[in-house]
Amino acid sequence: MFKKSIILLLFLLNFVSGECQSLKLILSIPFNTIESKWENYPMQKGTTCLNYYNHDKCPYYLYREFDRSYKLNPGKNTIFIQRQGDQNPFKQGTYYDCYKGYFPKELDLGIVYSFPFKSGNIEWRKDTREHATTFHFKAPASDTLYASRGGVVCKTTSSGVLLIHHIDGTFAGYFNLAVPLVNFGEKVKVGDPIALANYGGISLTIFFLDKNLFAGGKPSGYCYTHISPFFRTVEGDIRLNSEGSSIPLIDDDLIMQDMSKSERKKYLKKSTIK
Amino acid sequence: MNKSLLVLLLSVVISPYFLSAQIKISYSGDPLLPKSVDKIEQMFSYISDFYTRIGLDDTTDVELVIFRDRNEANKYMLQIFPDRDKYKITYGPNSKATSGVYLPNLHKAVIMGIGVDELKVLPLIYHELCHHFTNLYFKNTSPPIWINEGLSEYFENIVLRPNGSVKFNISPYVIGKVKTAILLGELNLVDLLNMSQTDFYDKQKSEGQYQYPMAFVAFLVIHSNLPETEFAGLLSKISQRDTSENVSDIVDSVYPSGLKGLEKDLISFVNSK
Repeated sequence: MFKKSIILLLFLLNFVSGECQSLKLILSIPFNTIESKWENYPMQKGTTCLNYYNHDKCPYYLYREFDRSYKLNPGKNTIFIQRQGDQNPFKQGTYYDCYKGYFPKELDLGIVYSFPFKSGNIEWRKDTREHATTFHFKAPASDTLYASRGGVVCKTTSSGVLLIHHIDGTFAGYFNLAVPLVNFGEKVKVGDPIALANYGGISLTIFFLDKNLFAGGKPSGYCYTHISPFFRTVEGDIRLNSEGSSIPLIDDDLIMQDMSKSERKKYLKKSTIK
Repeated sequence: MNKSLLVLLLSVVISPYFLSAQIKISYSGDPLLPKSVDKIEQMFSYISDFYTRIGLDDTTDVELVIFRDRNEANKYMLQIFPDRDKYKITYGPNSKATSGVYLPNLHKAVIMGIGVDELKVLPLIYHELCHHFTNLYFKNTSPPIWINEGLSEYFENIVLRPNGSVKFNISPYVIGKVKTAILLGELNLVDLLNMSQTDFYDKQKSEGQYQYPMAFVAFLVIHSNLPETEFAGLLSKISQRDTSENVSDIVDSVYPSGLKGLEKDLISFVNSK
């Protein structure tokens, strides 16, 4: 009886947390992920530079008041170099704001994703708890969740969500996770196990930072666009409508989709040897 | 006194009361500042003139109900909203945001949670009041959602200057959403023009939130590219259409170069901003 009560309590707690604006969790930036520092410029004595450090694995969009906007790649980004004797236009503190991601150069709308669960007939429905296109996939508790597309695991503020950055600048956000199986910074391929699902299943959203939603360098509203991509199933590549079910399929084409030429060669060689 | 002169005098005195019978607002709920009421009356008169010019002859008055406190508004709405369960799902009794709703069966516009800064909320008030006019105009049939929301968004974004001129603003966010919708191949004019209210709000809630911006921009492009008489004619045809008739077919027959022309003009419009 006691065990059953604990399970019920955990279920309720997770159900409540699943209801609580998962998109906000995915997009909120953990403390100190982006740091700005004035430092000595190592190449020239007497010169200082303004550096922004991105401690995440995905690029960030930086907006600086009275300045312009910048792309912050992972690691060190030098925004400004002040030589000896030069005036410092940024003498006083400047307000800045950051957003996860950067504007994709080219969006291939034909990119195909894999269902986050592998076996059996997977049911889905539109997740209307989120304000942007998100799909809920039904699964039993502790079922293994797999990466819908390859990428790198980024920072989040909660262990109940995962954010993966793809090579084309899009993100996949996975919500309602019981146990993540990957850590920040890990590279995953499509179909790699990434978490255990919570009760009821998980939700998945695919999105990108949208240049069209910025004006004067600043967002003019919610600045991400969420898309409804193609998913590969045994019936072919489909776009999910409001609800349904399908049997997922991961094939070599899907696995090689984001690979470079040389990576594909290696992969095909390995597959032939097997 | 000469009888003819008397009749003439009487008609000059009495006729304005008949000819200028206009829709009036009655105010209830929390009181507004006099300057807010002035602005509302001015905009209301402007909207009323617009609808009169396009052929509205119904003069049913509207009640504007104002709530500063969102919780009080929710209590009120749960008492009068016909379907309590639907209200809870649609508006959320836990919502803290300012919002408005027009109740067509009751001719009421309810503005919920305006807080202290009521001048900021005036555009929302104009939006909801405009729904009253649109519903009166389409008395025999439901107004297509793109017209209903398009017209309301239009008047929400108008500023009446003291000198009587009109300034129109369209937010960069709206333009941005439509640009993205076009980029992603989500712009489908036939679907948009024929969309039901239920589908519209469902898609707005759960998809890319393109519906309001697309409806607004589609309305704007149609309105600005048709002379007023033709625009009035289009609305009239739509309001009197057979239930089997598609709104998109009517627009196709009225708009210069049809739906293809409309799509081209819409794309040019957003790209020019």
